[in-house]
Amino acid sequence: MFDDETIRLACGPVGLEYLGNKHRGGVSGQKGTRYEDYYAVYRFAEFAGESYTEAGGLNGNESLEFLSQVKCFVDDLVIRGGRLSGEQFYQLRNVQDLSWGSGGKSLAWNFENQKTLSMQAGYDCNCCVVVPDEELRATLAEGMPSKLAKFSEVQYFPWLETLDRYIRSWPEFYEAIASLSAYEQPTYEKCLPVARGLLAAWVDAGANPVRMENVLRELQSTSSYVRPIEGERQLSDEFVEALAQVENFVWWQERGYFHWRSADGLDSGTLTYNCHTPRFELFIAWVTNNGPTSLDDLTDGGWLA
Amino acid sequence: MSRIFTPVAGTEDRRLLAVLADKGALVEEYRAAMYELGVHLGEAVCREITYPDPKVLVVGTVEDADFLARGVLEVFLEKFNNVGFACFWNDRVEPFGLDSFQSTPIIRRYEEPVPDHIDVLVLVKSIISGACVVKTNLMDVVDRKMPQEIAVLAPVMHIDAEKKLRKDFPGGIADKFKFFALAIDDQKLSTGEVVPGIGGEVYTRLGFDGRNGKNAITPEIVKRRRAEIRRRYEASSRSISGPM
Repeated sequence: MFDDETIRLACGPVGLEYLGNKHRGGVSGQKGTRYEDYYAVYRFAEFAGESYTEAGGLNGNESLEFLSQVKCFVDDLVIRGGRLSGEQFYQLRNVQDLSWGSGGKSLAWNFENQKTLSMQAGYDCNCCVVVPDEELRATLAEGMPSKLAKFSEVQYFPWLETLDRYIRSWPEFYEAIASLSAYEQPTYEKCLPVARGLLAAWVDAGANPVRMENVLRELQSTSSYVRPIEGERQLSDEFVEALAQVENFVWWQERGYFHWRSADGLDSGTLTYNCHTPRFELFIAWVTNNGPTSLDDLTDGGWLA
Repeated sequence: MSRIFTPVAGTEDRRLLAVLADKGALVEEYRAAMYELGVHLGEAVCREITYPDPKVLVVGTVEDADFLARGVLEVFLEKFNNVGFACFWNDRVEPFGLDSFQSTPIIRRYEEPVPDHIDVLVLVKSIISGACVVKTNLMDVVDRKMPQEIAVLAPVMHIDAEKKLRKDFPGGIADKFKFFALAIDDQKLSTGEVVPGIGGEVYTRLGFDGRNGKNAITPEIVKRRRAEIRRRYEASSRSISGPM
């Protein structure tokens, strides 16, 4: 993202040597269970949820990228591309005590150098430090050095140790994940495959960029119940009429998925594949060709699982 | 490799567990052993219930429904008046091929009407190893039905399963868990199979065509109970709309 010459020109040999050492140190801890990872999942879900449009597509954010292990000063998470006007750099500090400091290698020094480096490379940049304590967030925001104020912010993100707990205990996290779900109001159980899928994408990418469209397309091809980028599908009258012949069967399309239940509510489910997949084409063909009349016709044919 | 039998496991249970572990056991023998173990586990849980007339929901997976879960359910139906049954079809997803991020969403369900707040949730599973399916199914039911007590039943559990499961729920919920197992195993192969466990992949041992095959069936117990409930609905609506 930043070559050595750009770093040297922007921040001198001291900055170049510092980043060389920092980058060689690599990622501490196991990727997948760290504070940084859960934050990346949260932000990805938040950006993606805001990008879906009724007409389909991601509203220009198809190319939005999430990166880690970048050779730069504020390096836990970098978000760039898509409709962002600049690049966003995040420092995640899962600590109860932190200050901006002053001089070499302090938080303030890293933020300042990041701005200088990004300007040298020709990009606008925003920097953010994220902490797991509300009081610490307020203290850092209040004590932010004036020279950082125009391009920096402090955010709160709790430390809850597992994805399950984030989903269950932090409403903002639930809302972000829910915005990608095949359900308008998913249960926690339905949020889990979405969140795990995003975390897997983040871990699988290693030091490579995680591109929003690629991740969503990959996940929507599994039974993670991630809503399709294509939006809802216009279903043919023939298919709708054929389903109307199935006794005591209620169905609806929600966020591009086929949901169903028996009229008495005893049986229910959601197809594991969305309405834009070749498998759904087969379902349409089977229904229109075979004219099922009961729930058993559909379940015995293996079509509702 | 070591197996510890819990105090709940009697001589007959040990014999039945040996049938499960025996890879040469026939499908019918295996199914019968699961059913009998369900009866014994159901009895063990019922002995611990102090409510005089509890509202109970028994939850099982599609593969266990006609065997282990049926055994448990029959004991509860005999002892209590207010018992419902739910059967879940779980899929398995490994995003980006990473099994450590596996999840097991419920793709289909059969669930009998029970009150919004129940006294006892009984979750049945043939084996609890990674606890993934149990966790998914608990997550789904616990928030909707607010049980006072949660009994998790399995003939065999891996030694780490209880800890793993408790970790993923808030204290207020995890504190309600009571585990009922007959044997605790401490060895897991690289494939994830617990040994001796229940003698390999339960879907195949029970005679289903693997993971996809089990999700394509509707258990007999579901068909039977669904038909009974519909008959009752129809009878009650006839009596309501009948001549005065």
